[in-house]
Amino acid sequence: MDVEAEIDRLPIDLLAHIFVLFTSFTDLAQASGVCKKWKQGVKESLARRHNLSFAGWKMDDDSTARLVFHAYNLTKLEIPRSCWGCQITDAGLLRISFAKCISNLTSISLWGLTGITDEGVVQLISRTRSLQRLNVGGTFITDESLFTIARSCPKLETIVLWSCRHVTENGLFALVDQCLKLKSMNVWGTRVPVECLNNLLIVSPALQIKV
Amino acid sequence: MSETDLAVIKPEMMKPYVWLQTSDDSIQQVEQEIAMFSPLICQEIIQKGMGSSKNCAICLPQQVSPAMLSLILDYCRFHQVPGRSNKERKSYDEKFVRIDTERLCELTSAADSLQLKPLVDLTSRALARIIEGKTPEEIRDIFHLPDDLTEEEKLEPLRNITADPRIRLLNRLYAKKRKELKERGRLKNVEVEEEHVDERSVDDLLSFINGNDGDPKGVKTSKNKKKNRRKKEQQKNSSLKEASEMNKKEVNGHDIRHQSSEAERISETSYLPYAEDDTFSPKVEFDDGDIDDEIDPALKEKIDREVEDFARRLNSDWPERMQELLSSGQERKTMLFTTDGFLRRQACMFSPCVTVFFLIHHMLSN
Repeated sequence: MDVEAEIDRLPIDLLAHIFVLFTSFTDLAQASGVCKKWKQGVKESLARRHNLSFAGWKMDDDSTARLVFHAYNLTKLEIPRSCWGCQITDAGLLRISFAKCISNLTSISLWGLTGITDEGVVQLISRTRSLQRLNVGGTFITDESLFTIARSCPKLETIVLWSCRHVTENGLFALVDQCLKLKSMNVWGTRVPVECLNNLLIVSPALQIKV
Repeated sequence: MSETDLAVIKPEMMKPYVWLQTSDDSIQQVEQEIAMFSPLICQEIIQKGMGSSKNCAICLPQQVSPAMLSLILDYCRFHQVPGRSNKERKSYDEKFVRIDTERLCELTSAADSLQLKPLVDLTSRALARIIEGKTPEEIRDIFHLPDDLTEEEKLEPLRNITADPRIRLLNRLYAKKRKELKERGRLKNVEVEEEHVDERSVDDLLSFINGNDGDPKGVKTSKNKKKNRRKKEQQKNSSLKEASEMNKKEVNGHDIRHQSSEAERISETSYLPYAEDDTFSPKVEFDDGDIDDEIDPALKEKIDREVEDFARRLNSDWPERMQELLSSGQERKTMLFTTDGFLRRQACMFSPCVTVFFLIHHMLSN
């Protein structure tokens, strides 16, 4: 090519800035297939992202882990169950837990991921240090996960345990006892008795419990 | 200037100006208030005191051409006016970025170099809208970009986006293409191997041995000759085991196991077309079947006699001769003798015609 294309003169960081504005992962993938510079730009755009949401996308362990690995500066990660069904498993959460961004995450949503268990959640949460909001509603986690959350997330402010039917009062007490900044808790659909919830309010009067 | 003249002067005429120098060295006078929209220009004015006169004009980055500067100043002038509604601003912005892609890219680059974040965001969003929903080929056409990705890089499965049925189909297509590429690669390798075969005629070989620069005439080998060659290769392979066993025996009172193993190693690692075990008896046997058929009997007899004579002479003082050969850069060519006293070649690096030439050359030098 004799004349350099005008867009080719843009520095990679500016290309990355353009790619950050893409809302679709399809477009990102297509852009990475244009040329080597754009491929690098796409990687850098992922590294710049602070929020990454896979809502509405049919993601599997491999693709999710690869994207999260490139997103070094991520603070908010959403991997909710989409209309396509859940394909994320404990193996995926384990791989994600080794990503650089995990210790900086302030918000994680694993809403409705029926393929995950305590094993994956414990691996992921035990590596977070700055978590403030956690949504594990609609999953099959037990108190084991809640004990890990209580130990690893001292800054936790909001937790959604919507329809987590295997959670008991022991796990909730551990949360309230150790997460001193906890302000809000959604326990709709759990099997925890009302008396227990009243006891939680005695321990932490400022706590908002959504039933 | 009289008081009446001063009264006529409007407030906007009192505005201070700054001098800006663009990439083509042209200098423009711009209202300071508008120029200060750019943090870069602002820094130059406040910290360095530049732009106050034509002589100390602020040098703008290379990316800022006069055309781009005027566009940027128009944008700044509009947004600098107070009291405009958000709707008005949005409408202006939409119209502002309705320019051809080349100019839009240039504008993005210029705005970025002047650190005008709102304009960078605006133009970047416009570029993102152009790119969205396009295939890599379409994007390359729009922006005139080079296609510098390798076939393998292009055919990488797009794993991040399995939700899109188009991508699933694309991945299947890519898988097919990858298979085709591999097959093509295999075919190329086969062709390369075939090219190694020495297809030269006897005349060419003889002229090469005699040192003449005759024009080579390619003689195509017939099917029978090719069959003949295959048969000879099979015979040769069957005799390999015997040859290796003989090599491991002590010859002339010297244990030459280490030499034979070295030769075997060379023959294994060598990819040259003639790097096979050949036994040179007094009758010089060529690998090429077609050469055997077409060689002049009288000449053949003469060569046989000379080689036999050379082999006999060589046999009398072979250890010293071996040393000589090895020291003269022939280490890769391990020469051994069988109990009959005939020369055996392990992993010869040359084609048969060159070997004959080598033997005759040595004989003549003695």
